[in-house]
Amino acid sequence: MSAPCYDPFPMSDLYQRAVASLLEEERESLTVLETWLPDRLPENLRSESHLLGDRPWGDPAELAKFLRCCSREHAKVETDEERRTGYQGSCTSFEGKGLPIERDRLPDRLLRYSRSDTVTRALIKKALGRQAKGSLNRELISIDEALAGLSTFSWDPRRMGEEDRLGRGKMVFATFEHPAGAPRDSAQGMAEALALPRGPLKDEFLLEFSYPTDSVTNHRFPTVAEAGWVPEFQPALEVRPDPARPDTCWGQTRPRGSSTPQPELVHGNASLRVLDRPPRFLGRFNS
Amino acid sequence: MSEPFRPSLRKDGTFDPDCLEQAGQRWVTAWLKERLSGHDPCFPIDKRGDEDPESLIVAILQDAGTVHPATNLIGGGILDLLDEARKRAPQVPPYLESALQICERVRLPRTSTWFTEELRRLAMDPQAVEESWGPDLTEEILYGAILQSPGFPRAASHESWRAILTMPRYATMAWMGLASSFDTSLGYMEDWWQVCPAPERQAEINQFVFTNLKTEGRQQVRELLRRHSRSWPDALKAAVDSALKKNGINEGLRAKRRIYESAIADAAIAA
Repeated sequence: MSAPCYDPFPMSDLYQRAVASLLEEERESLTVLETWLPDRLPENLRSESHLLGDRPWGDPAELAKFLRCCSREHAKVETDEERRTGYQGSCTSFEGKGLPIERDRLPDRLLRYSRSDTVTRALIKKALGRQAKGSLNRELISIDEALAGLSTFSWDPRRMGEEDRLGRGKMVFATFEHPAGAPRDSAQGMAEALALPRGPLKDEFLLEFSYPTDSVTNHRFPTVAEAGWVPEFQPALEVRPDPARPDTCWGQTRPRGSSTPQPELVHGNASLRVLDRPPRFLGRFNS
Repeated sequence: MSEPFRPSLRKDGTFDPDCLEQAGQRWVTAWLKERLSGHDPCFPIDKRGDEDPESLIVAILQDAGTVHPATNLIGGGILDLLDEARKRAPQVPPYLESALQICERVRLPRTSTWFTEELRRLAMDPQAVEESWGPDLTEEILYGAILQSPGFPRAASHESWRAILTMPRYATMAWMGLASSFDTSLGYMEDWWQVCPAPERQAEINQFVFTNLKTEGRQQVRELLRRHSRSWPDALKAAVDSALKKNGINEGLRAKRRIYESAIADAAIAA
């Protein structure tokens, strides 16, 4: 899979038509919002082309609804904090509205890279018992030592509960194996390839979850709504999905450094029961 | 959150706990409430890589240490959130699970009384507590209490933990709450064994042995096990033997006991 070429900040046709459908006061408010948004967020918003809901390719109605929601939230509050909360709230309301990805265009397995301590501890508790989580909490053992106790032979996903989820939100991000490859044995390498945001945390770990594509539902293109306040996200290029060009059939990450872009999609959150093999510990990375 | 305060970072990009002293309790509590609910205007939370809202707070606390003023401020903020959650129960506010995760991992002396009160409520009326929090959150509260209100013999929480040790669902948590060391854990092991649901016992003992072999060393584990196990039922000894074997120690408690007993018998015959 060759990496698609991106213009620096191409404004999508869908965005322009969505803006054109707004009332004048909504457009003005949107302009104020975009001037206020930091980093790449305004560029990402303007290049969004896959926030379609269940409408056909090129229909701007859903994106217009999203922009209207963002601009109204922005206009009705006064402080920066309230504005940020308003934007993130609008994003949350429009999660899972990306263009659906046809199942036959995806491989049979998906991968998900998680740095969630909480999900990992819940998983360890269910797989190895309450003492295991207690030992982790008290730092008597490390996460990698605990995970070493999970073998493929003894792994039983039925121990996971319905309340033990892959992630926190309604939708979660995923990727998959692809011909261009990925540094799957390096936490640092994967964090850069997936463009995980840099933050004030050091020495985080990364875990790989692997599960059948059919065990989760609602596969969709990721959009600015799922990305929320994270500028490292890159909206998919405005090209109608074409099976002859696989890179148009899902999103792509905007990797840091010289890493290869990785395929990116979202799907409905699901129970950890979908993990038909134990998670793999990649190691630690500095964000 | 209308105060103009902005937290600052050190040169290496990590959070500077000193800056929270300028922020004050009100700002810290409001920031915690927002962040642990999933929104942080200062440090956006990455959904793509599943960043936990609480991970930054845990890192700040671990960096600052127990006596730093930032720990006191964060502890006060968490206590305010726990109090608020108790008033709102059985409704679960969005920040509660993350707040509890912090309490499970970092010592926050200001929250100690809250956990002691919850232990007392659970010991006296488990049904009322489960109606407030539900069984899963109750378990998370107990994980927090293990660190914030451990059941040392003279602690206010000791009797509550003893009562909770008789409750099958929470017996393993109480065993951890009462045990300040491997030696004291062994003193409660038989009580725990009698109460813990049978399907859960072996996995818990496996992990208990694994952790203590790592922290105490082989010799100490075997010596203390031998000392404490004399009155244990055979099934418990067999479970410990199985855990030792799983961890690469083939001479278990029963083997030792058999060797010891046969040596006594040999000596008696010789006499």
